[in-house]
Amino acid sequence: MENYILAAWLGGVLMGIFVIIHFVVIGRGVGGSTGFVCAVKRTTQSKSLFFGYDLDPLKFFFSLGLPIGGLIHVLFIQDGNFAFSFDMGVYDNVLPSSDVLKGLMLVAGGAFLGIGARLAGGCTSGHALAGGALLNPVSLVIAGAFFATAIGVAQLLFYVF
Amino acid sequence: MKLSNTELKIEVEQQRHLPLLKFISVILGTVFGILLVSIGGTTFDVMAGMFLFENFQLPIVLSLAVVTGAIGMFLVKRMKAKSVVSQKEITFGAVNFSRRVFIGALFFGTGWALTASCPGTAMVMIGEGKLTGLFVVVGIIIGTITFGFFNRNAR
Repeated sequence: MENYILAAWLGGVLMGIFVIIHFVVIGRGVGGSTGFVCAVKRTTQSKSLFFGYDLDPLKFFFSLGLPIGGLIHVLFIQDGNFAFSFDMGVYDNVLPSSDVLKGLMLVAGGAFLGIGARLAGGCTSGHALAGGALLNPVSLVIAGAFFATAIGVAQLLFYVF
Repeated sequence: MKLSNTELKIEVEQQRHLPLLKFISVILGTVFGILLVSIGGTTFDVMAGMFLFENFQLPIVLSLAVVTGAIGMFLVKRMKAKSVVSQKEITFGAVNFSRRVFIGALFFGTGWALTASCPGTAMVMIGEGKLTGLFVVVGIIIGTITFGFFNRNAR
């Protein structure tokens, strides 16, 4: 593992503290998928898409901060060498070697994420972290289903196909 | 869905401080992004390791995050049990487990395994220069629009 990765116990505690801070400051749980709904509503200006949807507009700005965080980490916590890459570590062994096919698979995977997050009412951050902190049983079950499915599909991807 | 008086009041409160809250949200997102990289959430090998039971970094992180968060939220609720502020701690739109939600979990889990990212980490990866994040984000937007299109008469 890269040397900038925190010890698991420390990372976990910091994440938990962050979830609490987010709740106290914003008044809602952390979440990574709602920002996309906001983005879609803003750009399409559609009256029918997501009409009446319970939406937290601040999530859009939260999502904007995420890549900034990634950039800051590369520049100041890692070695400061920013470079574009299409490398996926061990995933390159199982995904198509053609960049075009790999790109298509990533878009398809993203579509699955997008649809799944909306159907399930959130992503891992929303259910596992925020829902978990509230000890919301439904969220924990949903998070469990996310994991179980991902593990199953990964087994197929790495060992079968 | 009609909002309760409490929720309306919080909405009004939010409206007043909206510019500041937007800025704070960006800051929070930045911090979360840094955290996500720091725990290995944007590292493909760590993700693959988790799904294949070879690397327990992320399961430990998530478990501890839930424990820490739960302890903290319990204390927060207790300390502010009677004040108005505690009504700020709304649970997010509570979801009931249903077949639809289950199907959503299947979709999500599949996408997660195929891309080793979620909506949050994909955005962070873009900031790191990982172009894979960009493709995933495009996909998420397509998926979100698709959902919106098929659900436009839902409410």
